[in-house]
Amino acid sequence: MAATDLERFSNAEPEPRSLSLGGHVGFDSLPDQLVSKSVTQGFSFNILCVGETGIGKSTLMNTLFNTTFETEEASHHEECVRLWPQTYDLQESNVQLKLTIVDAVGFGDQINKDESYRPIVDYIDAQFENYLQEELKIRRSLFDYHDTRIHVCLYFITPTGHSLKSLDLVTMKKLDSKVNIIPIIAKADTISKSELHKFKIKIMGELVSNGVQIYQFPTDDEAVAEINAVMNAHLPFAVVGSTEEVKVGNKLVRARQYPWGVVQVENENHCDFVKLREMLIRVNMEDLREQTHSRHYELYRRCKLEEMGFQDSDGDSQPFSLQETYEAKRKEFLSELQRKEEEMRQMFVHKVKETELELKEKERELHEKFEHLKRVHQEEKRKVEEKRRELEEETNAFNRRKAAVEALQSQALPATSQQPLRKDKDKKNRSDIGVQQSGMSLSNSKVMMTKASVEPLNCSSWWPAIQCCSCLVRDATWREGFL
Amino acid sequence: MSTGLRYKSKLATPEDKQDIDKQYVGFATLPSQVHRKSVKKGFDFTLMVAGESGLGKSTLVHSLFLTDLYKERKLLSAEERISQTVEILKHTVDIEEKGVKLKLTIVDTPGFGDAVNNSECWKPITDYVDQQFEQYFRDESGLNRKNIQDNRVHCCLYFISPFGHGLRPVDVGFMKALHEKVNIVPLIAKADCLVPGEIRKLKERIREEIDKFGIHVYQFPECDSDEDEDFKQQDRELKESAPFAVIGSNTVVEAKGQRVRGRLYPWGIVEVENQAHCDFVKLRNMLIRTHMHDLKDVTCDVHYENYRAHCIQQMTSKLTQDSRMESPIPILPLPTPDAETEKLIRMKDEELRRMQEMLQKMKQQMQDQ
Repeated sequence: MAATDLERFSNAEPEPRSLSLGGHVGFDSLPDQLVSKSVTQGFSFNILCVGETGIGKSTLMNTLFNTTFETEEASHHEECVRLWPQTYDLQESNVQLKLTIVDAVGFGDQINKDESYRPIVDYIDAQFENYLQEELKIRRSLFDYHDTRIHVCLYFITPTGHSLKSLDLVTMKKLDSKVNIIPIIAKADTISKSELHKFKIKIMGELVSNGVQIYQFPTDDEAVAEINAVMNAHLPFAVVGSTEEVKVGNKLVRARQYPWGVVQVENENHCDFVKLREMLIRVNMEDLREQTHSRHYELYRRCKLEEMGFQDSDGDSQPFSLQETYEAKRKEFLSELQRKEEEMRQMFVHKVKETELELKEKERELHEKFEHLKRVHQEEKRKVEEKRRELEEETNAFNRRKAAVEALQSQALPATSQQPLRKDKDKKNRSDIGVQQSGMSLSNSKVMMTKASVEPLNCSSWWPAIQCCSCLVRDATWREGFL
Repeated sequence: MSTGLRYKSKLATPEDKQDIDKQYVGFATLPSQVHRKSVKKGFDFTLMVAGESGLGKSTLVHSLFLTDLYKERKLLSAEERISQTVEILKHTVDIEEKGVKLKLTIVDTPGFGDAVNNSECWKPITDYVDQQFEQYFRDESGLNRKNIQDNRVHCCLYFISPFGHGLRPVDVGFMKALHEKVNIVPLIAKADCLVPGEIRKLKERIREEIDKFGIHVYQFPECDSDEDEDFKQQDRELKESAPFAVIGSNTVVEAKGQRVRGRLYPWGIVEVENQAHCDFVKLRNMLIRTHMHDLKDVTCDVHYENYRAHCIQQMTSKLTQDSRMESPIPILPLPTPDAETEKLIRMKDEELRRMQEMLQKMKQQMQDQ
């Protein structure tokens, strides 16, 4: 039903006829209504300043808007380019302006500038993305939305006098399809008039030959066509900025005082500041905003939606509804998500199982080792016990023999009894060492040693009076004897 | 005592000429002899200029030596410069003034800092400087040393951009790579974009950053204490105005009825040789009129000797490893090992000592037991 209705309407639309009015109706106040509405709403304008550190971006902003925006001096040693947006509320007459100045801090300072343009492009895209998201919302409030899309990019060119720098060319090429670029020659009080003329021609030539599209002031509106055409010929503007006032004649003007003269900011002969201000603020601000919305933003939107898979019309010329495509895409996306979740869960379970197996293996190995060690320990303990017993037996045997020898001694001469004593001692010594070497309870060996030292060798005077036990063991010389 | 006084008074009064001839030795004429010989021999000087393109290097060289060295110069466009490499160009001119001949070589470094990726863009320059040192080293150690050509770089003028707040990373990188090889004289280029207050701030900033990064730029030698006040005052001013803020110009303009070298602006004329406008005169005096020979001396005595010592050490360490290597110069075996091995030896000695002490302690413990 709905389709046939639409068809009826679209086929029935003929060429509108133009009629003339009999009297004054009053709809010529429409523009005024529009104006008063936008004045009450307030305007927003976003400027992006791109240029080397110290080239005069902040000073120029201060000079353009005749106020002091609080900024700190940037350092040359930033790791990479970062964008620093600051929003200010300005008011002139009864018009309110929400001005956002975005500064590309650290631009041109790094040794490797291959990636310098990327943060800038990302920032611009992010602002477009935010606006797109707002547009696609179900409950949206576009009239209330604080538009942060960059309306103009002022590109500050270093006044070398030769040509553009390679970084300038690369960056402008990346930015020309995303934002309105107005190139300006900064610190223009360093170039003389003749050099400036050549420099401007060189720059424009390079931009044209490399296909960089800078912003052209519009020449289709008759009211401003003429002045815009003239200004287009003066691009890029060579500007000088200053917030200090110098007395020239009997007036205080914004100028820079040199030992050889005074450069006046608002003197058209000295620099193009006045032209820039005219073009940027007084004449074309609204056009810049419109261009941003109708050209750059629409381009971004188209690319983005095409990426997402939307098309304007299908093969059989039935227009897709955004809603349906969106739903389809969403379902696809959700099912994709679920699949991935499943996959991950399975992988996780699998990994957990593997690790469990590994852990079990290790546990088993450890148990085995423990058992093995225990067995070894027991073995050793047993051996030690055996040795101890042997030793005890030997000690007993020795004692008995000693007693026998003493008995003999008391009867016979003392000279013949040295050897067996010493030999026993040696044996004991070796068993001591044996015990020590098994590495088990050291206390056992100590007991042996103390036993050895405690046992008084009640030998007679031929046994030298030696104090320490070890020396006793060491210094003793043994000879074969009877046992 | 009395004879000495008599001798002096005799010199003061040139009446008894024969007596004076007997007592006057005559070596006071040495300076004039040196002067005569040097005028006959002629001087040579090699100056390197480095800095980003568009900072006025060629204009300044032109203003300094008042000759046009860059007659046919091809300036690359921005597109060509995206991935440009640094070249080294040498221009040699013979100039003469009042019978004194000077063979001036300007070493230019086009392409420095121009590409988008400038990592290690100073490498060709350090290689060139090392190459000149090496060549001189070989010549000096050769058998026939009569006609040695001294191509070593005596001074490097480094141009710092006035559009920034101080030194940039590429400036710091360059100066750190070259400060031990060449006398670096930093300059603030295109100083006609800075009002006097800004110049002062920038100079302070740059001096601070040079100290902070540990860069050794060329230091003007201290003047002797017996020089007159005027000279000392000049010397002090010279030291205080480093780095020099210079302006160069190829054109002569008419100012106050005089023809001066300068730049013509709608708001005034900048005179290059006006001390109140820029430090060009100071630079010229320092570079040419007073310190040229000192720059050469520092290059010979300090930078070249460093290079030579380093080179010889490397060669001997290589020789000890590979005794079959032929050396171009006769090398005596070094009696002293170099610092590293000495350190190692010392460390090992200490370790040995410690271990011996420990052994002794253990022995004692065992004995006590």
